[in-house]
Amino acid sequence: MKYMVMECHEGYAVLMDENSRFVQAANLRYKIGQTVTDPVLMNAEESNRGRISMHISKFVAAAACLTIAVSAGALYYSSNYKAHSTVLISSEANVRMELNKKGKVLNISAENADSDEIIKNYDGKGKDMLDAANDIIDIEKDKGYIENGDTVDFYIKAETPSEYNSYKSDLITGIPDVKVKVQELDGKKPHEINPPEPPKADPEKDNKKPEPPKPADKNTPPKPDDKAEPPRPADSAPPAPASPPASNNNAAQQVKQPEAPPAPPASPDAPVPPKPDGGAAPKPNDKVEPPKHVDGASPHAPALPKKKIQLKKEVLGTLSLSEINTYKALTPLPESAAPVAPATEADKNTGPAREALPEAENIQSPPLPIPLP
Amino acid sequence: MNSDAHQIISQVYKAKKDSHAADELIEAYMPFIKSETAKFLNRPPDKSDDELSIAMFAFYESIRNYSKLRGSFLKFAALQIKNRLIDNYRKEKRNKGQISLDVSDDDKPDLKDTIRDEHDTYQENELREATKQEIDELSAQMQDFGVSMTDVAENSPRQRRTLEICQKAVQYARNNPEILDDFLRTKRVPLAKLAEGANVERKSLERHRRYLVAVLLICTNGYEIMRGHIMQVLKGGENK
Repeated sequence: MKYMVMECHEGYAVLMDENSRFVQAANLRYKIGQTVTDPVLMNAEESNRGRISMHISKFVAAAACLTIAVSAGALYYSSNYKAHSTVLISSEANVRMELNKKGKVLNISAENADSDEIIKNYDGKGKDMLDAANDIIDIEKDKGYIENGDTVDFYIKAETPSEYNSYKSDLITGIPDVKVKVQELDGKKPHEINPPEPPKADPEKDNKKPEPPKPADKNTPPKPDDKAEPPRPADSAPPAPASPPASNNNAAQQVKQPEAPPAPPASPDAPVPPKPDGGAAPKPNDKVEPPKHVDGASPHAPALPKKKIQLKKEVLGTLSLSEINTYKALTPLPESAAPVAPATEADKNTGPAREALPEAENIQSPPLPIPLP
Repeated sequence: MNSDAHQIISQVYKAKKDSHAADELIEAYMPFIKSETAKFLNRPPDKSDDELSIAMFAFYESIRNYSKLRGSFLKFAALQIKNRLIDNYRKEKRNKGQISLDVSDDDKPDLKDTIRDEHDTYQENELREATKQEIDELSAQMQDFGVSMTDVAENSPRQRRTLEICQKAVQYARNNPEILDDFLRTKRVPLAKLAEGANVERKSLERHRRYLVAVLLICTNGYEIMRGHIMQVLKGGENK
């Protein structure tokens, strides 16, 4: 690009380029009218650039301030107003405390009617978790829900194990008058933790025909023998369901056994064990008809002798809730049923069903977090 | 001390608007400019040194770009001079492998004297003299419009789009000599006619009124050399 020198000054020269632009450049001993090719041009955008950069820097500064403010606010909110942990005090009344990151109580809520009574006139917001827990326990003592020396369950849900341990140790050391039992709350309220369903023998499942073995690989076709003779259900001998009386809860029976009347001899009313072909096997949905008494009376409590009722109460008192539920699930029990089904003709083919009984007895229900009332 | 600072700032702000005041300020601060150049060159600068010219130009740029927010003017100017000289040094460094025609040993003649000069120096001087006369005449005519070359340089469009808009208007004026006659007679730029005729925004033309004065004057009769310099643009199409 050629420039024509239009004007010369002490510190600069005015040049006109071939695009009719007028520019300022360093006056390298130029003379007016001279044509030059490589001038040192003024940084024309300097002033504009300064202005633009000023605007940009203002904008960036404002954005940075905003970001800092927002992040500081978020941090403050996160550490002060966001629920990070939960402590559930479980006795007669269940009280849930939500804690912030600093361990201060954000919210106290009642889980049942009793706890409503407790927290009705108590506002523990902003208090330390331990103080609030002590206050609640004091109130519970005052109301008579617990007494000194009772065990109070605490369920803690914390974000980190260290938080959990910290709360746990605080609770164990900081609550003097009652026994503290601390457990982890896995997102469930204790009263929501249902006892596991008793292991039901699924006769249909048990009698289900085993599927023929699938070829492990397409390249390896099954043997012709496998196709020709699929395993027969009778041959495979699936574990037949135990008869309802036999599969009834074992623990109760074990306790009953010493005083229970001896098993009556095999009678036509006795429950018939399922047949191996599965057709007569009792389905889970099928109502298990309790064996009728000979005199046709109901097998339920009215027909039981008083001694048995007392015994039952004693046994129920010693059982865990899961065992009771299992027991209840399988009621009505035929009182006349013997603990062990009498051997019938069909028992010859239901050997595995008998063998399955000890397995059912061995199934242990998980421990319950709630003490029985 | 404080009054000196205020004085120089007022001088700088005056020089921002007045090119003569800028020249005076540069002349007044020549020792400072030379000292800054000497710091860079590690020797006292000579009048023929490009670095001194660039330092003076950097000082002029400092005047133009200075604001009170930037602190002391002399510190600001010193930084500007230093940066400019460094930029120039880097630019020259690219051509380091080349031999200057002006450099000569004592025994041998200048290199440029050994090369056959195809330029007709006499003709060049004559052309330059004629160009100078045109430029002087143009400057005088621009004075009638109250516009100086520095004003035009400051008002010249920098963005390509704006330049094209101005060139459209100039082209339209060239194709319609009566507009140029009106312009010379009334000494006012007929912005409305130019905007309407060239189908461009009047506001864009208004922003570059002083530039349009210079270019429209060049397009009138009597400035053949300058017209020839920018003829390619006036014919249409910008030189890349």
